[in-house]
Amino acid sequence: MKHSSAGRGRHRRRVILLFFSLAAALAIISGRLFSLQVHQHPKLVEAANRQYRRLVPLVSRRGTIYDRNGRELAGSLRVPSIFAQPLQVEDPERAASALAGALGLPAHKVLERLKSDKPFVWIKRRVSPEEAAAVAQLGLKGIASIAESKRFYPKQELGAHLLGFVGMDDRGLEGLELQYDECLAGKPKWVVRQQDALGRPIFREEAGDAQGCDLYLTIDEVIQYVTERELEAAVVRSQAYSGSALVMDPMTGEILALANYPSFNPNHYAEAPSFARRNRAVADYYEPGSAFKIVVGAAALEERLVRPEDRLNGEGGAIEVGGIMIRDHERFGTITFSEVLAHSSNVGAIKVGMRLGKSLYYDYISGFGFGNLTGIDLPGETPGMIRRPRDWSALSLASLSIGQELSVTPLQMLVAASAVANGGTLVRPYVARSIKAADGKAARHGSPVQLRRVITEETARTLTGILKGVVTEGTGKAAAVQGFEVAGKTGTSQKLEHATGRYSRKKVVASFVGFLPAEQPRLAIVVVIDEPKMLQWGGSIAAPTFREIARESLKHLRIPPAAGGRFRLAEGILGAASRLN
Amino acid sequence: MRGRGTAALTAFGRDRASGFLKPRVDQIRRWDLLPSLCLASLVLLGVLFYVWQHIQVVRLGYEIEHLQAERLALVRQENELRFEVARLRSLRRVEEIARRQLGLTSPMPGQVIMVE
Repeated sequence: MKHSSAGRGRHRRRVILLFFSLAAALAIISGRLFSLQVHQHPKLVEAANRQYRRLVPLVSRRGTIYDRNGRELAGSLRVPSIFAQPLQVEDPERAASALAGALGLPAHKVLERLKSDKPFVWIKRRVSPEEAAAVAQLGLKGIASIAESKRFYPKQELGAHLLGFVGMDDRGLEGLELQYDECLAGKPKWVVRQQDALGRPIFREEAGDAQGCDLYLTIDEVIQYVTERELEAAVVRSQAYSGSALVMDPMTGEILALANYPSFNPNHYAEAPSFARRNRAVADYYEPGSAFKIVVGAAALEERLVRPEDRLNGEGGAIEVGGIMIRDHERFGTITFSEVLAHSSNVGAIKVGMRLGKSLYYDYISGFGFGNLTGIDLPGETPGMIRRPRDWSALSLASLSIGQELSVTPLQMLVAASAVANGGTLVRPYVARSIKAADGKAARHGSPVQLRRVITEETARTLTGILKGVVTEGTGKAAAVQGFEVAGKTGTSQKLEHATGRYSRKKVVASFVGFLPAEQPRLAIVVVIDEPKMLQWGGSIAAPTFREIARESLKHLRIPPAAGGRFRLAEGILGAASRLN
Repeated sequence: MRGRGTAALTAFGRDRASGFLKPRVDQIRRWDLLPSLCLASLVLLGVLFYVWQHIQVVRLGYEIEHLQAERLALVRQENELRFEVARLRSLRRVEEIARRQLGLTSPMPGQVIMVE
């Protein structure tokens, strides 16, 4: 009995001891849990996130540039770049030799990089997939590859000055790549990635903005190609220094083609000399010469100071102004105002300019946009140069009447001619037709902007009739396109030699600006050939280039010839058929 | 000794010693344990379900990541091929092939018929 009671007591004590031990253990665990879950919670959560969540920066893909029909002109691809972590490279000499062989680099340069004390060095950026595979096969410790974005211009030289190019950091440096850089590049993209103990990704949550927007241009790839091809042919044929040509829809201001020669391949822009990369069509200016008689003609007709049939004395081909004798390219007697423009008489144009007077003529020059930026969405545009009337000399009014003493860009001449073509309204030229965000929604549409009316429709119609005469019977006969009525004006201006301050006898700028079909214009084209050594007249080199560009562009746009033109075509076909028979 | 021991039993001890009560006590203990067992089983099942679910989520995560990488590679390949097509369609290249290899020329104005 005693024994049993003592046993129970001992048992009871043991139970109590066990209870308290467990309670103490539970208290310790609870305390620790409280400490971990409540007290240290934020710190531990942060530490855990650091271990299994990672914010990875991603290079957003630069947007694609398309022509007006959705053909790719510029785009980005992900390509591998080889880098090294020099501290991890075990045998730099052997690694340098192997890498040099795989990547086609000088071994000593690779070794120099591998011996760097920096934690990260590039070995070669933007390599081909074959080169990356060859490096991977070497299995060198401390050498790896990472994907980078590389800009590609699949059409090579096509539209090079227009598109521009991007630098190593994928930022636009020239052309549309620079103009729309912010939009095309997009904003930095971050990815929150959860990873396991081995660093393998388990989940990723995307955050931040998507890739850059896509750009749809007003440019037509076919017209651009034809313009570049014909311009190159003209520059080569005339042994000229350079040339520019632009094609525009005169009604809307949409630029359909913009070409300069010499050109370059934007995929390898660093290899091209700077003068080849210059967008001369908007960044260079020249004295337009007789092509500017369009402006003096428009002003005089608008002010009713002259009518097409009014007769003017050609003074036998020479006139003295301010003590300087200004001559015509041939001796003219009495000719009508229409003939003044058709045959490009300097004497006749000066006489009409004199009727206008300084102030009125300056107002029209400014009104047509000369001396101001056209507002095209391309970088590097120059406003040209035109002095104010108070700074004009006794000769200036006469000089300006024949397109001297002022500088214009080819684009400005085209915009001015387009104002005549569309019935008298100055339009703003533009290149970006629409911008599409990454989600496919159009973020912005380029739309025609009418700046101001410079002449009435009646004046524009009258002037168009006169300019048709330039092509049918004047200096621009070579610009005629079979089946279409063409209106335009030739220009051949001597270049000012800065060393002597006098006009050069040998160096000229030959140009032609016009539009067609004359009554319902669809295309306005300007061709400027700088310093041709052969075929130095605007009518002999720029006008035929205009014709070829116009002919191919009309065919591409499926613009049918006028009724008379169809008849001539049918005759031609019948003739060909009869010869076959 | 035996009688003394029997006499020494309390009323409770006698009840406990009786063969009649013993099975009932066991039955009560079993019924007492059942809810605990059920509860433990449920908790265990819950834990197992939670672990299974977690493993499934992680497994699917790996699978999604793998598929995303595959998709990305295919998108890149498609992009590369698109640009390759654009390069091959370059008008300069096409014209050169047409003129030099196929002997084609541009049609003269009289050879073009506009079908309206």
